[in-house]
This record gives sequence, C-alpha cells and structure tokens, in this order.
Amino acid sequence: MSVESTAAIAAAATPSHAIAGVERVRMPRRVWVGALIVAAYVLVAVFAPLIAPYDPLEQDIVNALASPSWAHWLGTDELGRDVLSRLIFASRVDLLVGFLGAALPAILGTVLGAVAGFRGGWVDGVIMRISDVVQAFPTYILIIALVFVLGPGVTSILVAFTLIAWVAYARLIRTEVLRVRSLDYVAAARASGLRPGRILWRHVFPNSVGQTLVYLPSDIVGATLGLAALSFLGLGIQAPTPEWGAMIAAGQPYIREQWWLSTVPGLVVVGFGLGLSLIGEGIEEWTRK
Amino acid sequence: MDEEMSRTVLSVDDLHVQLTLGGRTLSPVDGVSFHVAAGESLGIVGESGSGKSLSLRAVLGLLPSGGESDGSIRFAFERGEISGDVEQVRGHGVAMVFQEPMTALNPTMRAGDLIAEAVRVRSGLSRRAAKARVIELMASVGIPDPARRARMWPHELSGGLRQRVMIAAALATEPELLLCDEPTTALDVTIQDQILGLLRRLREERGMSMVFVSHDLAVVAEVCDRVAVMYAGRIVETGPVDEVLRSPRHPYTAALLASAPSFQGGGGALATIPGSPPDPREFPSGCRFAARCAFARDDCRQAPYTLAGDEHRATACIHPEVLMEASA
Repeated sequence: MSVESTAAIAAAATPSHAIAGVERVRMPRRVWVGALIVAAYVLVAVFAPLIAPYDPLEQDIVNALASPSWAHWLGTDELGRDVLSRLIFASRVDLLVGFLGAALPAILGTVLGAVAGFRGGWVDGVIMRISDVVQAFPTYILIIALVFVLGPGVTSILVAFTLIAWVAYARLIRTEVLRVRSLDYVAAARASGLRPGRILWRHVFPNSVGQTLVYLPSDIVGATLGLAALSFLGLGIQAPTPEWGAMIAAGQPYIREQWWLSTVPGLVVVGFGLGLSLIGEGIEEWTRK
Repeated sequence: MDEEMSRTVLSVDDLHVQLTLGGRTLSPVDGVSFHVAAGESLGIVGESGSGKSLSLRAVLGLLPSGGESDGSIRFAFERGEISGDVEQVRGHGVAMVFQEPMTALNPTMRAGDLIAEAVRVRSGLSRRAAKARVIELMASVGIPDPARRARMWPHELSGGLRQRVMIAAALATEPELLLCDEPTTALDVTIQDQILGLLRRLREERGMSMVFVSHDLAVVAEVCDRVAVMYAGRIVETGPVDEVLRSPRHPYTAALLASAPSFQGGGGALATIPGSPPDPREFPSGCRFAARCAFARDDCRQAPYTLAGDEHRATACIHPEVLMEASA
C-alpha cells in the first residue's frame, strides 16, 4: 500500500461531517402544520359520503334558510339543503380542480421551460414567444373566453387553466435552468459523455425545481379561487353540484340575516389556502438554507 | 513501449477561444498549440485569466455560453483517430476532473449514483454490476469504507473525499486521457498532496495521458513530465518540467518561479511580479509580458509572437539570453 493511501485512511478516520461545511437542513415545522391542514381537507373530500350527515342535494323547502341547530350544524340554504353536507361534498370538486389545475400547468410549463432553457436557440425562442403571447392577454378574460368556448365543466376549466397557467412555470424553471446549466457539475456530466436528455433530467432539473415547488402550493390556492370565481360567474361548476365559490355566491342575497351562508364557505377556502401557504413558505425557507 | 510513447494522444493546433460578453468579443485564448503523447503528463501553468482553463475546456467543447473555439483538436486513441466531434470522445477516451469539488458534484445525487452513471455510459452494465464496479472504483481512489460512502450525499463528504469521488467518476469511463482543471486548488495542503499522489499513482497504473492545468508550478512539477507556461492567452514557454524550473527561458516563467514559496530556499520575502496581466479586451502588440518584464527592450513591443525552439524546448521570448546573463 502506498504512503498516499495510508494517509488517506488516516485522514478519513476523522468524521467527514466535521469537515463538510453544509449540514442537511430539516424541513421547518410550519410545513408539517400546513401538511396536516391540507391532509385534513383531503381526508374530508375522500370520505365525504361517510362524513356528511345529509345528502347534499336533498331539498327541504319548508326548512329553507334555517339557522344552525343540532340537526343542521351550519343551517340550511335557500333550498333547505344541509350546508355542512354541501361544504363537505364541495371539497371534492374544489380540491380536484385545485390540485389538477395547478399540477397540469406545472407539468406542461416545467417541461417546456426546462427544454427551452436547456436547448436554447430557436427552441427557446419559439417556446418563449408563445408564452409572451399567452401572457399578453388578461388572465381571467382569457380563461372566461376559453371556458365559454369549451362549455362549462371540470374538464374545460382544467384545459383552460393549463393552457394559460403553464407560462409562469415555464418562466420560473427556465431562469433556474439557465443558471444551473452553466455550473461545473453539468459540465462534468457533459464531459463524461451522458446524453443531453439524461443531463437535463438527472443533473439540471432536480437542481432547478426548487422555486417551482415553492410556487406550486400558492398556485393550488389560485386554481381553487379561479374555480370559485368562474362558478360565481356561472361558468364553473353547474348547479346543483356543491362548490365553495358557488355557495359563496348563492349566500350573498342573505348576507344580512344568514351571514354564515357565505362566510363559512369563505373561511373553508381560507383554511385550505392557509395550509398550502404554510407548506409553500416552509419549502421556500428550506430551499434558501 | 517506445512506439507507444510516440503516439500523440491529443494535439491542439492554433486554438482560439472567443468570448462574447455584453456585446464585446474577447480572445482569452489566442493561438495556443500543444500536444500530449501517450502516457505523458503535460502541465499548463498560468495566472488566473491566462486562458489555461478555457483552453482545457475547449478541448472537450465545454466553453461557457457565449464562448466559441476555433482551431484544430485531434485525438488519437487505441481505437483510432478522431477529430472534429467532441461528442465522440466525451466519456469515450477522455474524462475531466474539475476544480471545485463542491460545485462539480451534483448535490442531488448520492456519490455512488454519480459514479454509477459514468460507469454505465460506456459499459452498459446492469445496475447491480455497476454497483460492484462503483465500490471497486471508490476503493481504487483511496476512499475508505466505500460501500457506506457510496450512499452519502456530496455535502456529507469532505473536500478531499469529494475530489476522490470526482476522480472515481472520471476513471469510470476508463479514459486514455485525463484532463484536470486545477483539481487541487480548492483543497488544503495535506489533502492536496494526497490527491496529487493519487493522480500520479493512477497515471502510472493505467498508463493514462494527462493534461493538468494549475496556477501552481510546484504542483505541476509533482505530477507532470512537460509544462507549458501560459500568459495572456498564449503559451510563452514549453519544455520538460525539471529543465524549465531549473533554467527558465522566458522572464515570465522566471518571475513566476521567484514568486512561488516552494522554490525559494529559506524564509526571505517573496518576489511579486509588478503590475497586473493585460486586459484581454486590449492586449498590447508585441510581447504581452513586456510591460511587466524587468528585461524588456524596445524591440519586445513589436516582436511578433512565435514559439522559437523545437519539440523539446521552446520560448516566445526574443531575448532569452538576458535570463542567463541575469543568473550568471
């Protein structure tokens, strides 16, 4: 054994952690608090039929606009339907549109943005010009126009969200890819003869995706609010399917006497948004360390 | 063996690198030629900004964005000659070791996975076979307890171990030519010695050729057979390391030697080279070192650049005799 390698073993006898500058950083607690909140919403949505005390569509006109009681914890709406049961069932469509309405554009935008940044040249030019065109329109007007053309419903809402919201993801990831692309470990991956696709996937992408993960939770809130806004305008989820935004809109005429009809769905949306914000902020703090 | 030694693994002729930064075009590498024989180790020495690292990166087409190279780069491997297509030699004959083991290892990949990836580029081994090969490679570069370290993330490893991981990943493709870009600059002195020893040993064991870029003549002296000294984008002197160190023929080499602690006996004050390297945006005509040279004469500022000499020993100085007079 050479002198060199015995020296190496001696050097390695001291714990390597002592020398390494960076410690593995723990996720901040707020991420877990947020995750708990969001998990609660997801559980409610999944087990809605088991949890809800009434059928959300069952009308009882005689009992319309009842105040909260032991029978109806949150009272009844203008058609005598149980508000609590409607809130619980509404979480199904709201969470679905929230998650998919953020995930689909995130996937499309991340792929396009990463390819644009990594390949550069005309590919970059074409993708980014398309994104300029999309961004030049006022977001909501474009979504409303698209949903109007495609017809109301979950599918057309998701299509509209995806066609528009990918732009933000593409820009985010592209900027990061441009930064990471010039780092030495990417040069090292190139030097060892890896294929461009693999370099992008294993070396560039994992190191570029941090900002996207920070943005994603707030975009889920955005998609849920977007759905609520569309429903408010009558372009979202159609009656009688319960949906938080539609419930807020429906409760408006009664805001003076039955104030809870709009307020409680509003608070439910806020709670969901809070959970996701905690996750997003926590991830941001974590990636900065 | 003699026949083998005569094969030139890498020959670079009249290499130019142009960098476009903010609308201005610089030529940080301005007509560099060098060659490396099979089994030989060439050092390229110069200050930061001399163009040494860019020259090395240009060999594998790894210039930063905005960078373009021009000139002839030819490889001659056991499998044949290749020129013009770097894709064919990356991971397939040539490998590279980078300066900063912190930034040159992907922080999102475990050490073992990183090496395994390089192993699989060429061999097409199964995942499991690659794993065994990774442990073997890690052991061969002196990483103790390789099985455990293979599962570690780069930030959990010390600087020295990181550099060994990078070397293992470079060796994974079984290169005939290893390019080293200041592989020990970021390490402390004892670790630096270990890595240099490792590179020397690996070169002997594998008969690899090497190009070793460094700002430190002492480091180059330890691992290289020949040296090329670069200044302001050009090679100013070449020759066998020991001869160049003993009797430099370019005042820049001499000044570099005088300012290196390793070559100064005793504890006297170190000499510094007055002034600073010329701005690559406006290189002076004639000898680019003339403005800082203690021996400069009028004709130095007009002298066209040529490396005068032979394969063995050459200098760009038109008055190399001044150094002999000075030392006499």
